Order: sequence, then structure tokens, then C-alpha cells
Amino acid sequence: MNPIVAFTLLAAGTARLAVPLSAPVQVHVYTSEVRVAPGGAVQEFTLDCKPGQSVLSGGFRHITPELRVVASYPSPAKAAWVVSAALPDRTPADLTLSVVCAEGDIRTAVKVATGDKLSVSTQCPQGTIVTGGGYSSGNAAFLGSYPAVGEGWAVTAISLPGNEIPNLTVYAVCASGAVRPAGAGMETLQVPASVQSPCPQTITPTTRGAPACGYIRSGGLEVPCEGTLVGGGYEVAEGQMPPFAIAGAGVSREAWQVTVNGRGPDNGPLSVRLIAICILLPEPDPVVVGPPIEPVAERDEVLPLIASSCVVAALLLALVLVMSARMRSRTRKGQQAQVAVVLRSHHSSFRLDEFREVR
Amino acid sequence: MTTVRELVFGDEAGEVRAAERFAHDVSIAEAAVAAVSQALDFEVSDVVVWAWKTRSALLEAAHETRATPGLAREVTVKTYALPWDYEMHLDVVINGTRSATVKFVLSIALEITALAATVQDGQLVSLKSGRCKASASLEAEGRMLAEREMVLDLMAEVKVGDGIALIPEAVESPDDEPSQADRP
Repeated sequence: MNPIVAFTLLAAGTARLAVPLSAPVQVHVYTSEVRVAPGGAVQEFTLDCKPGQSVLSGGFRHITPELRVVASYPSPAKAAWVVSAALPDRTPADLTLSVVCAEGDIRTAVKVATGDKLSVSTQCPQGTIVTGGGYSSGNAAFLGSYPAVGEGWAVTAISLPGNEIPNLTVYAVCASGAVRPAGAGMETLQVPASVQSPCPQTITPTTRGAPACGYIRSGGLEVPCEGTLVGGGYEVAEGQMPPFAIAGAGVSREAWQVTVNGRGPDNGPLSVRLIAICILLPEPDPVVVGPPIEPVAERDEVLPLIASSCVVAALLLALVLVMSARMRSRTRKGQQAQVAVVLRSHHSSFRLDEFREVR
Repeated sequence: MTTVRELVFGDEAGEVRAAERFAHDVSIAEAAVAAVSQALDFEVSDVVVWAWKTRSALLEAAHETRATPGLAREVTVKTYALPWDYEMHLDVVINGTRSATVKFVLSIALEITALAATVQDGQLVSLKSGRCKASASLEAEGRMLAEREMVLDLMAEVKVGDGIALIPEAVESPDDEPSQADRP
């Protein structure tokens, strides 16, 4: 396993404060590369936050189309992100885990819900905001994992052959403290159609759900956000997502990144909506204590009278110069043009030719 | 509730950025963007309701339920989209003389998903779910000044209250004060 790579998204409050009111919130992203063994068995990997930190979100990425990520979720037991994957192939594959952690005046809790439908959601308690979420299931392939309406998390999945009743678990990371939501950045990834199909005449689903061959669908997109990026989600906006085709969903550099890499049964339009979750952190306290001021040594001697007079004269001169400058400034302002901008007319219209509605 | 001004500019820093993109003359740029900002001080949900009143399954249900008193229609819509353009002409007046007229164009793309609502007697009487991705762009004479998008929870944004009339016949009383959503 490679050593953990860490970088800081925001490092606030490095200055020394006279009286620290509350610990400023810092957000860190940690990544770790693991190796998934072949053979088809589901393997679980965990990436911990550092002691004293809280988990905000997490994710994974890989470049192996055969790799099946069956779970990616915040650990309810500790500040960590868990990814489970299986590889029904003969050669091992690399998988990169990521976890977004925070320290300071922030508290998080993981809300968990289960369901036997193909979409399950959960809501954070009142007064908290959702910073991330995830999913796990032993018998379904996830198509979407995204912030739900309100402060919550939702997942959608498709059943795998032989498992008609899915068993889904959805997780939401709910945060409270010195954070507030800054809205969501959204972009739509248009997954390009593949130029050729390896076996277009027949597509045989394997017992594990993914077609043995089919149209290769791959693409990726990054969504930045205004504020501090802490996590994100994705959902299919149009088309048919191949099972286990999400090859990456996580914070990468300073953007939420989702990649698709899989083999699907068709070559039709496929678009995936990416949602980046952004939060606002409190500004660092502007009261900064600089280097300690050396106490002025008391002097017994009295300044000579002539020196005092010079200082007074210099101060008077400075005062005259400042007053003169202000007078000149006022005069210039008086000569400035008076500018006004007024709304003369306005009208609005809907573009009915672009109307779309699906019931 | 979210205003169109917030959607377009975000915060005051967004207005400053838009002004910087609009003109080099600070006083003109700031005055122009301030005037536009003031003109956009209405709610995004108003645009959503105007859209529904213009063309939607909700509008059809409004006509249907108005024709059949007592009938309530549960309307579900997977996806709904109707872009809206708002054109503003602003006069720049310098020392009392109009020196230029500038055209600002605001475009808002509404993409509503998972809408579930109840319509009765021509009115929207309840909203059970619905998410709206609102993307806005503001241009002045072809120059992009601001571009933002937000995801809004319609249940929080649209205040149904005692019902929102989707068709003129469903307005309770001519004496009622017109709501924000009844503006043209």
C-alpha cells in the first residue's frame, strides 16, 4: 500500500489568536491506494481520518472496467470511509480510496437507512447539513448516490439477475457546528457513445449483472464549487447506465470528480448529473496577535526642548498637508459627473420551443 | 426563499464581479448592476409558477379540476423544463442627459425533477416533492456578466398557502391581493 497522501483544502486560522473563540474548521483530503485481489470475492477497505477529525465524505476511483465497487460509504462506527469491491478477473487491480475529514468546530454523525426498493433515502436531523453520503448492498448495482431534497442522501440501484428484491443501505453524513451550506455545484456529464462494440451481435449478461461484452461507455467530469468543497454525488440524468460503471466518485484536487467506465447494453445517449457539495466555513478571526511588543524601557532623562519642538512642528506640518489633500479631493468629487441608471423597459417570455415534460 | 438576484449574483461579491465585467468606468458599472440587481429582486419560485401557468401538466389538471368541482388530481412529473428570458433596457443618464441605453438579458433554465403535486378547483393546493435546478446567466450587449446555478427544494421555495391559482378562473375573489406569482 502506498503511503497516504494528504493535502489541505483550506487552512484557516494559522495565526495565533489572543483569545481563541472556537477552533477554526480545517478540511483535509486523504487518499490511499489499495490492491484488489482477483477471484470475485468482495473485499472491504477502510481509510481513516486522523485522530480528532470527523469524516465529511469520501469516494474512490479506478481504471479497471472489470472492477465492481459494491459499497462506498462513511463508517458509522468511526471517522473513516469504507469501500468494498470485487474483481471477477484473473489479475489484481488498483483502487484509490479517498476520505474528506474535518477538524475544529464541527461535529458529524452518520445517518443510516435500509430499504428493499431500488431507491432509498434518508434525512439528516434538523439543524444539521449533509456533507456526503454513500451506499452499500450485497445484491444490487448502484446507479446514483446524491444529496436528496432537503438535507439528506438518496441512492438508486438496479437489481442483479437472481436478486429481484434488493437490499440497499443508504448513509448520510450530517454535520453541525461552525458550518453552513453554500449551495451545490452541478454539471452534466454527457458520456460519449462508443465508436465500436466488441460483440454487437449478442450481449450476454453474466450472473453478476454486468454484460460480458457490450458498448464501452467512458467519460469523466469535474465540478468545482463556490465555497469549500466537501463531497458530492451523481445520478443518471438520461439513458441506461451499465452496472458498476461508476469508476470514480470523489474529491479530486479541488473539484468533485466522477468517471464512468463500463460496458453497457446500448449505445444511446447517456448523461450523468454531478452534484458537488459546498459549505461555508467561518472567516478566521481577524484579531491576530503579532510578535510580542517589547516593553519600552523607562528613561530617566528628559528630551531636550529643541527636539520636542521639532516633533511638534513636524506634526503640525503633517496635519496641514492632510487637510490640504482632503480639500483637493472634495473639490475633485464635486466636479465628477452625476451618473444614474434607470430601468426604461422590460419584458419576459418563455422559450416554448424548448419546453420538455416527462410524466 | 431564494430570489433571482441571489441566483444570478450569489452575494455582493458577485455583483462587484459583474460590474467589473460590464464596464471600466466604476461609477457607471456599479450603478448599472445595482439597477439590474434591484430589478431582479423577486423570487425564483415566482418564475417556476409562471412556467407552470404557461405550459405544464399542472395547468392541464387546473383546467380539468376547475371544470369538475370537487375533483382533485394528483400530478406527478418526472422531469420538466421551460427556459425563461427576461430582457431589460436601462438608460445610462450622465449629468441629466441620457447617454446610452444598454440591453441586459437574463436567461433562466428551470429543470424540475420528481415533482408531485395536487391540483383542485384550478389551484395548486399541495406540493409533496420536487427539486429544481435553476441555471441563470446575465448578459449585457452580448457580454457575459454572471452565470450561476442552484438546486432548490420546491417544497421550501413555493409557498402554496391556501392554494395558488393556476388559471384566471380559479382566483378566489377579484378583491384578493395579487400574489407575487401573478406578476406578468
